[in-house]
Amino acid sequence: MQVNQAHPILTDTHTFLKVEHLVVQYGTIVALDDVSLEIPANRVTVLIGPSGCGKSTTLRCLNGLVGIERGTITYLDASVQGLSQTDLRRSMGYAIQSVGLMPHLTVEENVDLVPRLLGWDRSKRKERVDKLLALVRLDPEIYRKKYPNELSGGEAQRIGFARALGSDPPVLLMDEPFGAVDPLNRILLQDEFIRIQRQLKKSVVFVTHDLEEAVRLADYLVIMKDGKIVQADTPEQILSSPKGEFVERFLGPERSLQRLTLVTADRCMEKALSGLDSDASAHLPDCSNLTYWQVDEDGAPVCGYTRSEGSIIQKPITSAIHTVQIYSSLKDCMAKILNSGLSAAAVVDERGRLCGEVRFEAIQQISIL
Amino acid sequence: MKQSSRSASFDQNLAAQTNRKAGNTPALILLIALLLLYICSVKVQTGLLSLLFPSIQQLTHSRKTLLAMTGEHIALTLLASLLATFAGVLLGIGVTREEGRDFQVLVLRLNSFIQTFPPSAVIILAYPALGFGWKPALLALFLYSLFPILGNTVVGFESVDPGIKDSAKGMGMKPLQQLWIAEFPQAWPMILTGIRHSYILNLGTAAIAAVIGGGGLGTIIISGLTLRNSALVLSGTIVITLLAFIGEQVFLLLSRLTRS
Repeated sequence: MQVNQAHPILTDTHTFLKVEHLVVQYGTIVALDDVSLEIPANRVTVLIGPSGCGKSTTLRCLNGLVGIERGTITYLDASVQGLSQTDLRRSMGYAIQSVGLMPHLTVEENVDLVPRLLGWDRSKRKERVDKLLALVRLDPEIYRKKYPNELSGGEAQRIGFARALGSDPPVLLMDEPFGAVDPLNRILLQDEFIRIQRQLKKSVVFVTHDLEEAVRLADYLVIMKDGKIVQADTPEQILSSPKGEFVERFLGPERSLQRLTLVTADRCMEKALSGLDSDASAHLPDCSNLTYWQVDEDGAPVCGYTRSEGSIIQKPITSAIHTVQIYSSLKDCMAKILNSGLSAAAVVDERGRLCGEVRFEAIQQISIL
Repeated sequence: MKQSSRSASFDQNLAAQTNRKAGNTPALILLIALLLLYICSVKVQTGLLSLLFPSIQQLTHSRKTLLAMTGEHIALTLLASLLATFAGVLLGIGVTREEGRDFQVLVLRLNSFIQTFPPSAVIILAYPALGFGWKPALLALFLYSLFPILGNTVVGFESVDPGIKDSAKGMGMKPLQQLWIAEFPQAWPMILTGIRHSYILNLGTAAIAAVIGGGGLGTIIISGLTLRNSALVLSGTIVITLLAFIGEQVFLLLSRLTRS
């Protein structure tokens, strides 16, 4: 079995931008108090903390939406070096909780805003819009001409994300982008985000107050409190050795469970034992705790079988909630295994076809690591 | 402030409703035809008025045609509304920008203060400086119609969703682009409502221009009043009412055309 490192280490990248001794004041209130931070390129940096801790302010300093009292922000990456404020913002995709789609513009025009500001030519822009809509899995034919008030919250958020990616900027700044979406859709959006980020490898700065979301998405996790950084490290490192009482309390008693959210299913997915027939006993060796998956002609799982104390447990699979996706978290896999009573969770691809399984032992092994 | 925002949005609702009910282009054409028929033909005027006031002999103004007076009236009203639109929208944009926000309260207070002057007082006060004729009338109408336009412009821009302003700025729009691409289209229906208000208001108020020799339909109305001739008063009023209906329809059409 191959267990990849849950997250690529931060040493094989360079510092995208460097924040040094940042101080921000709103009147007499000190919002940021001597914040120093290095944002890695091509990685997801998540800023997290209780409300009022300065995470959003930090993000808004990066694209100049908030004025700095003292301190410096140095853009080290070649793609953003020496740019004017306006050009800097155009090279940093910006997505926020309230989405901020222009209600008088269609989906197409909204996604097209930044390329239009940059003066790209028309045919290139049209192509780009179609590509972006397809990327966030919204059919361009259906959605192109819709207005924002015709979209659901989740769809609007996808469009907001597509718009942030409009000009293919090297950086994405995301301020609680999934904060206003219901829990079910939020998980789906996170899955999509992970999928897209693995493809595009942007330098992302992501603000959230949801610990599970932070642990899932972060390559580099920054915990803030009262305008200061309390701990900044990889999520693995923070979960295994939290610095100080605040971080420990912030991570909560489910710390070990949280570690499972770090890892996606594909990292410990194994080949599944499957067949078209329902004769499980022929496929499952005696005294093994393997799972046999019965699939239909298209390859979609219809039933799972596991031997347990001599008899065979059978679990019909009727909907997507019985299976996991490649980018689902191990925590999700764990829940599916416990629900079904089988020894593994079925992993399906976008078209619902069985492409592997995640076994209970594999999860156990990872959580020991 | 709040009051005007509420009444403006109520107006918008009303406009939207009438908009749906009335097929406005035919109505507009009909109204214009009626107006032209009435102001161009003395026969129609005398015919209609003699039906209503059989005892009155003089049914038209002795020196000026109704057509000329209508022309003056429209010119005065339109000019005042145009100037007020220009000034009101610019001023409204100015005080809703970050740099000008400090002046917002001052400007709005001053604006409502101007409203407390009766237009006739403005005309009389402006007389020494601007003299006799249409100029003091224009000033009065301009000051009067500034209020709804400026007020609605400010409300329109202030009610733009902060998330939209934030994302517009965050994606790298320059100040003018933020204004034109993100904010103006959202504030526009409200601004248009303000312009419509001021135009309708001006149509009525413009009648006092005649007091100071400014011409317009006030000429026939005031003659009627001094001569105790109700027919003359009614004749001027008919035209003003038709102009108001036409104005209303034109604005509805305009709001439909621009709200897409």
